[in-house]
Amino acid sequence: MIILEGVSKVYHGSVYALRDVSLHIKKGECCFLRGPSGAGKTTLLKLMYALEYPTSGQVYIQDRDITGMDFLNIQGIRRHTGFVFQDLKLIDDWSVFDNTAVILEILGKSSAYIRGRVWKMLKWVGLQHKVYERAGDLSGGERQRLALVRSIIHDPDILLADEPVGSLDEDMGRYIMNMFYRLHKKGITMIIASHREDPILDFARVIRLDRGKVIGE
Amino acid sequence: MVRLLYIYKRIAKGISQRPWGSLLTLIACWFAVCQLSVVFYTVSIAGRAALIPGTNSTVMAYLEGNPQQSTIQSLQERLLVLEGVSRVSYISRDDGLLRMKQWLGSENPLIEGLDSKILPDAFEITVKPSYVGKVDTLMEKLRKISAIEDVRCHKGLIGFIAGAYHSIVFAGFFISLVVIVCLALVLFLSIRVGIMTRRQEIEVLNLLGAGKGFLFAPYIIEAALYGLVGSVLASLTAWAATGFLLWRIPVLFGIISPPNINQIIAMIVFACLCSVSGAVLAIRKSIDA
Repeated sequence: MIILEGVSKVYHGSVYALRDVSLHIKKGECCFLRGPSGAGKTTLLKLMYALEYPTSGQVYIQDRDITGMDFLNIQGIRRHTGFVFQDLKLIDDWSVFDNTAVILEILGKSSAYIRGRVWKMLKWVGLQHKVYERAGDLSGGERQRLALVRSIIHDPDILLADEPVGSLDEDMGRYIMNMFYRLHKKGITMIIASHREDPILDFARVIRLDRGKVIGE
Repeated sequence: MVRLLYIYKRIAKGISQRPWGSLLTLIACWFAVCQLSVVFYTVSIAGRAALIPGTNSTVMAYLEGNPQQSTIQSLQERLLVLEGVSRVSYISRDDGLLRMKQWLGSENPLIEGLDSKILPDAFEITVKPSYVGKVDTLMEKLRKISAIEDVRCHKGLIGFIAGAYHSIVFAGFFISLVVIVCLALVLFLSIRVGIMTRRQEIEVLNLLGAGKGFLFAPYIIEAALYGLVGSVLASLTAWAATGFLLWRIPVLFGIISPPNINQIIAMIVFACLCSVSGAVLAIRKSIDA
């Protein structure tokens, strides 16, 4: 499903974010990327989402080499991949409904389908009563749930999440992790980056990173 | 395919975020198309003035002495093949005097006692419409013909306008070009501001996998809407203005007329194309940035 072969990423010519990382993540697998700040977790996720290209090595997503792929194909890959960004990337001026529905709009789904699907998913994360509120007016936990629901509403094959519980309290962190567990049960391939130790789930494969290298599993 | 409802929502949102900017853009579109209409009318009036007989379109060539009928005939044939000449009519001395009497009035003391042969034989040369601006060149050529004693061309205000036809067309073309560039520039700036205002939105949509069509269709359609509404308003203005002028100055009947449906459609299409060009440039610039 996701293969990284000898991937290195260098910034400014000499700063190594990743050094010769090779990974093989199977379909339906749930992986935690663990490590301190600066270990290279976010860079790894960005490479998997084609937000950045590796300095050397190859990245394969669903058997397609995305290294140097053109804009059109990259957008095609992104449309079928969910990403919970560290800073959430919600559009604050838009309503909860519009933020949730946007990926379905991009995929060209019908209005009736979008309405039904958005309502169902917002209910699943407990945001159905906030449907017409501005995303900018939501609390931190609500924004996190909104970002999660936006990333999975289109049933992606792969879900990437960058510190999805990093800024949440313990209860909310557990609540979000429980949602990830439910998604895992549905068979979605997930890669979750987290520097916290507490929300580890026993079903997940844990990949430990430090200073851009895989130091153990 | 990008759904219309989505585009409508995005355009409405964009306009509500910068209502004054949108209004000014619309006014600029309306004003630009009005200016283009004025240029069109000016060129059109000059073209019609050039076709009015007795101005630059007609030249009188007076003959020397008492030419024979055969000389007149051969000279007439020679004049007919000159560049820019569409018709040559011979006016005998008697006919000339008759015309003079009609012009001054037969009882006029100036005519009384005049010898019937006092006026010279002449040719009335009608110039082709496309040649009216170069009538001076033709007159020079006529003066070089030995049998011709004098060449005259009466120029009034209309003659002056007709004579300046080519200059008016050139100036009109230049002004139109400037107006079109300005219109595209206004749309470029307006759409660029719109894109900058909604940069976060575009960034997020890009991250979610939106194609270029999805990202920028609302801006293209917004620009086309400015062009459409601006040109419709300008058409209405042109229609009202010509109506008012014809009501106040009836002599303008036949010289100007309200824009017909083809002209209105051409105006709308042209304005939309200019606006969309400006928007496309703004989008390309934003993508590069």
